[in-house]
Amino acid sequence: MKPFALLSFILASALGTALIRFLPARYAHRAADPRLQRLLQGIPAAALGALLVTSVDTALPPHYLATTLVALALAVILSWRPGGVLWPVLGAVAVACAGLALHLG
Amino acid sequence: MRRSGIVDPRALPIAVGYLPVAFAFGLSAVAIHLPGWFAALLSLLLYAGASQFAALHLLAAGTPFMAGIVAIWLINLRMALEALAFFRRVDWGHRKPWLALLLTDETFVAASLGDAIGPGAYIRLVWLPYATWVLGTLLGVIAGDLLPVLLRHAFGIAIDALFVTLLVSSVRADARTVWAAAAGALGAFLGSPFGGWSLVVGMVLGAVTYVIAAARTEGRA
Repeated sequence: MKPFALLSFILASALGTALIRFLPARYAHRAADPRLQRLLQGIPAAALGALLVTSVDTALPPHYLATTLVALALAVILSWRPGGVLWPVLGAVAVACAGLALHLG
Repeated sequence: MRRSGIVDPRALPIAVGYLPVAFAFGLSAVAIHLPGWFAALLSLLLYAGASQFAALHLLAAGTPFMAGIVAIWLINLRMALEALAFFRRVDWGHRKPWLALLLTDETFVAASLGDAIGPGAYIRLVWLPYATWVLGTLLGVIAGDLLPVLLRHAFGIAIDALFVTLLVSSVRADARTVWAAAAGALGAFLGSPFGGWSLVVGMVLGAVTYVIAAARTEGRA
């Protein structure tokens, strides 16, 4: 593709996506139906569940998958106590580094 | 949780998770012989990971111009749901809807759980992931494949760990959200043949399940 076509591609896709984000935000306060509100309350947790499934790559080698599961189990344990997200996340990354280094080492 | 300062602590794991992905995006763009400015500008203006990778795939496959653009819009359609859910919840009226331009799957989830936040707290949450995404893309374009596979994978786990942590905190606050999350996961799994739409399928199924669970618990009370 020529530079102009590439630039048009970027601008068209970005403009459309900007409207997809902007318009619901602009008119969100008009949606007053309590059933819709209840429906929207469930979306963040639903998105979390969906994202967890779509982000797990089952094509990874077994030791990567096992390390991921152990790291996430640690994140669950660490996050059970209130106190922010940093320690569970750092703990999971540390376990992932250690687990993969042990396997490779 | 302390939310003062320039950066919301929840932004750090998101940024840590974004860096290798953005880096990989920059690398991939250069690998299929697209100019570096294309990758950087796409990250700067589109800021939507899944659809950016899809854009590379579509361009490499020689997909017609309009078909490629429509595919990207469809992949990003879920963001309409997220923007509606978030802005309805925070109730900022019709003010600052442009802030939705920095909403992603991850920042939406982080910003939506817990107490409703104001525009300032929202900006403290979203600016660092955005800056990291753009910077990571630039690094990927410039530096080439320097990050070892081990570190790339370990950093990638940061985002999953964040999801898990946010989910635990959500379930602690409202036990019914566990049904929404389970249905969301099931929907995404069942919807996997639909590619980028699986997330939308999961979100819709999870939201409907939450409505049913909430109606049942309120009926019992």
